[in-house]
Amino acid sequence: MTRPLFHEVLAQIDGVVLGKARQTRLALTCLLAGGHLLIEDLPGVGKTTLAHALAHSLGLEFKRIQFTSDLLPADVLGYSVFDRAKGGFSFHPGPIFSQVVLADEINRATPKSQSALLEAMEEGQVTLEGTTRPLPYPFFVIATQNPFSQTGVYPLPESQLDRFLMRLTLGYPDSAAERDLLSGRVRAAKTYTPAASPQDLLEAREALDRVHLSAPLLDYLQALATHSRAGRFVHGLSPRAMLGLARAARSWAWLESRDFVIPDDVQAVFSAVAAHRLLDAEGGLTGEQCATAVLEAVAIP
Amino acid sequence: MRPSEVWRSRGPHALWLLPPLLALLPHLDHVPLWLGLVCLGVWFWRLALELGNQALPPRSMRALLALAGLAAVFWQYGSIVGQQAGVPLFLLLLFIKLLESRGLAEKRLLLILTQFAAMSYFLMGQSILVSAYLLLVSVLGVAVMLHLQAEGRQPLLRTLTHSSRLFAVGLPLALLLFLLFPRLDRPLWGLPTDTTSAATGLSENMAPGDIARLIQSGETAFRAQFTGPRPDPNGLYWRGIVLSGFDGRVWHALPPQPASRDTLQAQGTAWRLSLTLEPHQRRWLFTPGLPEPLPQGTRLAQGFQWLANEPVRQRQRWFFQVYPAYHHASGPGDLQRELILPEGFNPRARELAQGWRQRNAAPQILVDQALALFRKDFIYTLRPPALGVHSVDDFLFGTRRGFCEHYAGGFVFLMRAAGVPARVVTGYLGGEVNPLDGHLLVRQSDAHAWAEVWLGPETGWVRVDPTAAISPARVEQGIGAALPATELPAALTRLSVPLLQGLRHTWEMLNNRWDQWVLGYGQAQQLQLLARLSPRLASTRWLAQAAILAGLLGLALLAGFFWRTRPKETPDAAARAWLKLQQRLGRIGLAPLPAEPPLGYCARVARLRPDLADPMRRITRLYLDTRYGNQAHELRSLARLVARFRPRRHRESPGNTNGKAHPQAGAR
Repeated sequence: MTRPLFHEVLAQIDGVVLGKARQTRLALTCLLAGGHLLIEDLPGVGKTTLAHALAHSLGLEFKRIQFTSDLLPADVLGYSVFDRAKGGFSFHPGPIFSQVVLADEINRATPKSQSALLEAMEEGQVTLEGTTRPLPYPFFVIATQNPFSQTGVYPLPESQLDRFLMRLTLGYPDSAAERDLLSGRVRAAKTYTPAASPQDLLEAREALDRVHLSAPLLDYLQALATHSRAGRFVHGLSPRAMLGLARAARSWAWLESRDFVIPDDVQAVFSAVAAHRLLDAEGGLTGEQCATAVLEAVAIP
Repeated sequence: MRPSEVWRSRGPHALWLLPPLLALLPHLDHVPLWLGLVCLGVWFWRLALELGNQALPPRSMRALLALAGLAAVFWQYGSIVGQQAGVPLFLLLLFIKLLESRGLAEKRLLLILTQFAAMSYFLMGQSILVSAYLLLVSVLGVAVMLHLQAEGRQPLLRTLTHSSRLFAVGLPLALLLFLLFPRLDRPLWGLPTDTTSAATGLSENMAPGDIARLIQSGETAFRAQFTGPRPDPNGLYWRGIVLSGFDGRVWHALPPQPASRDTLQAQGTAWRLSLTLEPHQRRWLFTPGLPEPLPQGTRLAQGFQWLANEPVRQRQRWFFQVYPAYHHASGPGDLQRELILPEGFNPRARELAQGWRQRNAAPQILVDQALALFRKDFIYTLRPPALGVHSVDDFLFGTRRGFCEHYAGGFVFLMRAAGVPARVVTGYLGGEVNPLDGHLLVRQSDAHAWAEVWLGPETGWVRVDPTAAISPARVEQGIGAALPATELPAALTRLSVPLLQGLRHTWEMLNNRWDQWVLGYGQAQQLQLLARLSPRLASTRWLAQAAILAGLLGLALLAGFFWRTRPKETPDAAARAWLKLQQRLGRIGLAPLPAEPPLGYCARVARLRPDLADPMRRITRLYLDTRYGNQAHELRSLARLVARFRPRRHRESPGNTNGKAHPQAGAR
């Protein structure tokens, strides 16, 4: 049974990222569900720390790409150079060839570089100069973007946003957490030994498939989808979003030590999964407010 | 709205009225005309109300109608119980009930009663066609019930397939029960018989015209199957009723003596045959010769009358051996009554016979003289002119047109007047051989009357058929050929087109099989079948025990069925239990928030009312397990816990002080 290992993973991460139990759990849920994570927040609230802690406690290899306006796709994916000694081209893999990739400030790079990353995320492989190279497994991208700087940025279009399973906001820590932080009682991620291995992650993902989705719960999911598509928003939730929602809910339920999904699970992950995909047609509501509106409008069958 | 539009929009709503109508149709042949008309009238009335979507007639009117119907049935039959009055009464009340059936439940009840009404026709007839029709009606009835139950969402065609499938599934079981369900020789219940009801067939009286009427009927009298040599059916006289009494107009059977004092002596070789007799409510049996030995349940009465011990109320089959040639003698005392003629009737015929006698008293000569008289210029016709008081005189010297009963009656009268003991015998002549399986079908239209004369102790009684003297074709080819074309009776059964004849033969064979193997399947046949399976099974005691066992088994199955189909503990039951919990909590101000998920709700209730936390958590866990976790077996515990969960308002509860117990929605 791998579940206790992941509770341990969660405990380790919470020991590093203080006072963000919900977000860390969602991040782990996202990783378990095989999705990618978008964190929209200010610099310095712990995005890197979270990514680092996740990677380390699972024993995963971690790399970070700082996206800038002059970043080229080759800086992400890698490039081939002529090696005189060998008398041929040798491939230098980019930072994307890593199990956990932190793509920092993704909206600062040009759409060309952005799409190089996003396509790799979607395909699970990189095709360069006619050769297809698989990305490592597991492959988990945490992208961050700064929502408040509006100059010199290339915001991700909705179609690209849809590729992230979840979008999270970390926010400032609460006062108790901040006090702990300031007092220096926080351990660094490196001081922990990994609580779980990539193999455990594989097994956990298989266990997710066995989490039961009952008929009334499917009714609930469909009611949510229907309501989101009823015209209040620019787009409703896509089938990909609904698949992601179901998988995230299963993942959440599994972390809650349950083998079946209940409406609480769906509600717990709904905002993270749906908020970045819902755009208020009238423009008055943020994505989170849209998600809450959907949840409150749909009765649990 | 135009009628077609009414039909299109309201027609489907009237579909449930179809089965009662179809169930009524066959009954129309036996219920009184007024009752049929009332039923049909009520039906059309109800149809109009349904199509117009109008209100049903008031209760008082329906009650009045029902009482009037009850009275009318009593007036018609003198009773409201028993098969004869019961079935019409049931039909009448069923149709009056149409006028008060509105909702789904009432319509369903009505359709079930309709099935009963349809099946009750089996009391009247059980032929292949009737069975097929009633089967169709009940398949349709079930289909309409399914259609109603689906509230019209399923088209009738689909429910019809469904219903047919149900019947098909039930068929093997029905067949098995039919074959193996123990049949007792004295059924616990029998077909109620009304002795007064008229049955087609020969009777103990023969007035001029009786047989002529009978001959119009194409109904089957009996079927015979010869095993071994098959005699030519055209010459077969199936001897039935002996009519020795005469009152001047009507020949009648004398009250049967307990035992026969006749001496009967079989001669020659025997035939073996089985006789399947249609119920005629009397005891007569028909035989082409002397049955010997007598089959069980039958006896011989005075005048060589072969009788069954019990009236033939159901189709019955006898296997026996019969000697076509036999010597039949009576004692002198018994001969006396075969000479009696009432005084004062038919003086001319008496005079003629006595003249013959004075010339030569030898019986054979007298017989020949009488036959010669008939052969001269008598005409054979189904529609003889009316005869007066001196019927024999009128016939012999006036009209000279008549039918077998005229000839037989006239001949016997002449013989008695001439001092030769003679009597009329009625039965059947000929019949039709089915070329497919060789069985002989004898219809009512084959009814015949002939004479027997006493030719002295050595010869004994001899059959004389005076009709044969007039028209030999009558004896050889049956009535269809003997009659002039203009006088064809309803003898359309005598079609001679080969194809039609072939079809008819097939049909008759099917009917014969049906009668023998389906309707005639009784205890004897069942014992035979069981004996073939295992000799030990074939005992009546075993059958009785098996009947009781089968009854108990049936009850057990029924109980099991009800147990199985008791309201299922579906996950919806979990939802209902949860709703009940929410309502109870709602009464103390703890209703769930809109779209509040179960665990969140539980946590909130537990926080606001720590005293309820424990049961609340257990109920919530069970609810989640049963509704979302696929653990339906916990439903009972859930229902029990919810039933016991009776939260009260809590004065001290801080969450309840101002009646607003709802924290913010975000408190999940």
